[in-house]
Amino acid sequence: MTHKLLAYATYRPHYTLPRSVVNAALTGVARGSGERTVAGYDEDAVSMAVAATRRLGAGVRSADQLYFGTATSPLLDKSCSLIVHAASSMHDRAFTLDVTGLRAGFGVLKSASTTGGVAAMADMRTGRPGSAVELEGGDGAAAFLFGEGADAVAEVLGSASVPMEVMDAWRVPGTSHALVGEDRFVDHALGRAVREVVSEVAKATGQTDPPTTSVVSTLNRRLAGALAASIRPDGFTDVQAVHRETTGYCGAADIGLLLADALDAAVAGDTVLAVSAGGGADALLLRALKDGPLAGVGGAGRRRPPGEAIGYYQYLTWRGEIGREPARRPARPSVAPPPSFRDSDWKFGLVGSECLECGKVYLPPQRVCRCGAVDEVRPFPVADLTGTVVAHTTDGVSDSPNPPSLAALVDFGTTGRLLLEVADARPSEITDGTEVEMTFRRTYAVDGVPNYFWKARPKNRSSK
Amino acid sequence: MTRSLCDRVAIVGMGCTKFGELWDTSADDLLVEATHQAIGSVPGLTKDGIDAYWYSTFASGHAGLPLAKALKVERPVTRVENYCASGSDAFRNAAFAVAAGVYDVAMAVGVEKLKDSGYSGLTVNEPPGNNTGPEVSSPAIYALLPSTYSKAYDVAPGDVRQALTHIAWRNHSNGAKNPDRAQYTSVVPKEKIEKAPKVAGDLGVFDCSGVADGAAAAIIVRAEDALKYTDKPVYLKGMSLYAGMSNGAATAGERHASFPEVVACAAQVYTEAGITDPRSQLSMAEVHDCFTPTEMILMEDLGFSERGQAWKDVLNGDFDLDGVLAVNPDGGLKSFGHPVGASGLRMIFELWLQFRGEAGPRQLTDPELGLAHNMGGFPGEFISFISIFGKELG
Repeated sequence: MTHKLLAYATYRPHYTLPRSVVNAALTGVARGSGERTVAGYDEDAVSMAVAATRRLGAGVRSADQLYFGTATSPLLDKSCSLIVHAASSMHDRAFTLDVTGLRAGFGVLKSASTTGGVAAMADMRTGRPGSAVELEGGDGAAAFLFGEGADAVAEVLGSASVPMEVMDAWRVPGTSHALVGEDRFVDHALGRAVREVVSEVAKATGQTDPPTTSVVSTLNRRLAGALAASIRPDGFTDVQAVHRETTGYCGAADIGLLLADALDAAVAGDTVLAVSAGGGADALLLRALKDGPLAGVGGAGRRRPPGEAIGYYQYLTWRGEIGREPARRPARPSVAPPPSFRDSDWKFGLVGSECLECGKVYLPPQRVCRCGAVDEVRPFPVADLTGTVVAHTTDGVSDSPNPPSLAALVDFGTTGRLLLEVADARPSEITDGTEVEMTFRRTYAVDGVPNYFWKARPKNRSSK
Repeated sequence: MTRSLCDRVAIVGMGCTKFGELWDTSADDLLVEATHQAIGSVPGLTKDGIDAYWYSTFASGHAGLPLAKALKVERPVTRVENYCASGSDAFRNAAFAVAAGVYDVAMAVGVEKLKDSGYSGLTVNEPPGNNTGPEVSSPAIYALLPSTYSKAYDVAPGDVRQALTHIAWRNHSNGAKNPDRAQYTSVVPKEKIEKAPKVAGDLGVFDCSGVADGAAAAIIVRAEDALKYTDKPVYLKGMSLYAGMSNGAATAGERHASFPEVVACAAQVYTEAGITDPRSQLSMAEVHDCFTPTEMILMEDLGFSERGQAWKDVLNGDFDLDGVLAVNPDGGLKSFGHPVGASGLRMIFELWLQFRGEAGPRQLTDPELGLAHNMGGFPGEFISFISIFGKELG
């Protein structure tokens, strides 16, 4: 039993690191083409997964399953899918599950396509400075909603797997640098696995004609391109090339980003084969039911507005490779579990309250209204609202890995206001009247434990 | 129903330490200095004559014990904390106790030792919370005000900037006439103020109050007993305290160019004190100039200027030492810094000196009525305190 794909969405962070910038810093020669995406200093796999999942639209709220895949979970032992669940305003009886490792992206896709529900995947690729992992890696997220509905964007024709015990990629617990096996060996092993899985998926689905489009997600960019082309020599492989030039290999989220891009480029009736090559190979074959790009259902075109290129020093600082001197400020408060638990709707869902008597909105929610009503409230969700900057300022005092930090007083029309930190913007990009959207961020961490809350960022400027 | 304390209590003695980066002085030292100065200012009074203490500090001690230990007193000591208005609220509660007839002599004493933390500005130890407050510093929060004021009244940003510069210039000029106690005692040229490094938004270093240690104390008795202690008592004409319910900044449509708590607070205290035209009736005002735009907006909220006119009145010199209503004649928070628990009492100390003719080079000519405004928090959620004092009964 498989379910139809009802919506899909991607999230690429605002910041990019041109490969030539890395090479210039390390070798003095600005060679290398394209750029990789870089999560903001206040982003991680969880926050990016939330961004992609919320873009799926209202259907997420009634989904009964949430599968969250990442190889860079910010917390172990604790299920981070619960954070994604809370911040995506899903219903409170949904099943959630964390899936780990680079194959997690395919894992959540297959799981959600089998049971219905949401497949969310996000990752950050960090290698040793100057490594191929760093240069060819990227950060990003994708999300897919499967279920039954007349308005589906694609149907799942079938899948196949060729598992293979192979040391192609690994990371030792407690370390941040991803490591990979020798290229030529990995090419050999994975090349064989991909050929086999393509054959298996054809058998499983009865689709003996080559797919209209194929995308292959794997660590090695040359192998990815070569394999995609080999599946359908005359097929459309531009998706793969653009992905490498603008994004890079995004770990567990890579297969999702490529599949979304391929669906965007497809027309109704096209078949799309998504192959995840790592530890063997896994493949999912879909048939598009609508013409792309499907921005209307949460998908988005491959062409993204230009992000902001950052310097290598900035990248290394955000990644923790360089320990910069912090501002002389008091330590941030540790994350206190009980208050976050009690106030989950506000902290993770950004849901305020509205007085049933007089209509006043409170952000955060309040039990007592100034009109005198007590406990006469209904939830007032803010996360999907567009706000307008009423006033804004730089803040040279607060410590930030991306100084100067920005703050804005944001007005939500007829409702309330919030003073918010501003993400993904330079001071010159925020003026009075700027429209902003809410974005779920990792606001800080104490002893490695992340704290999450919402910030504002310029609307419609972000990559999709 | 709020009843007036007009002419029911009086200050008969005060003390105030030097404010500044007092590396060689502890909070205990500051308490000893301020309280002994205050006691010493009342002929014949000894420590045994103080019946009860209200001791304010934001973060330099807990409970009443630090004061009891430092002064070696066995008396009722209540610690008061109400953000930056802590010192004012210590005074307020001591005044209530005396007016109620429970004690004959009460002392309000405030202290803060900010510099020991190693950080600039205030550090707040909040209880465990959900950690959803934005990481936005105090200067940044106040840096929103110049532009919202400018928009609310259609005043050119450059004109607002000039007014802020004038406020910084004037308060530092006044502070230069207060060398014994102010933290900063130099006149700062306007050009230097405008060219200073920015801290947040358009607010430069000189738009922000300093960070200082300090202490101040007041001895309070019933008005009818005042002349037993001194021939120059200062009489309380009214006081008012309001806690904001977090509406101002959070309410859509607000212009964010006024502090509603201050407006309410002022209306009440003026009624208590019988003041109908504060600009002409008051001789002086100590106001909470934590940041220069705060002072500009306060001129309107306190009724010293018409709405949208404060910037102009400021530039006209109306609130200079020789203007129609001297504001912050002692130099304000700008010159004194802001040792949180002490500031409210430091403001009252300047009224005490002025009414007694002891303000030296900044002495005003025969002041009759003065106001002290002290507040804590942020636009949208302020603790606002205003007291009015006079030289004479009636």
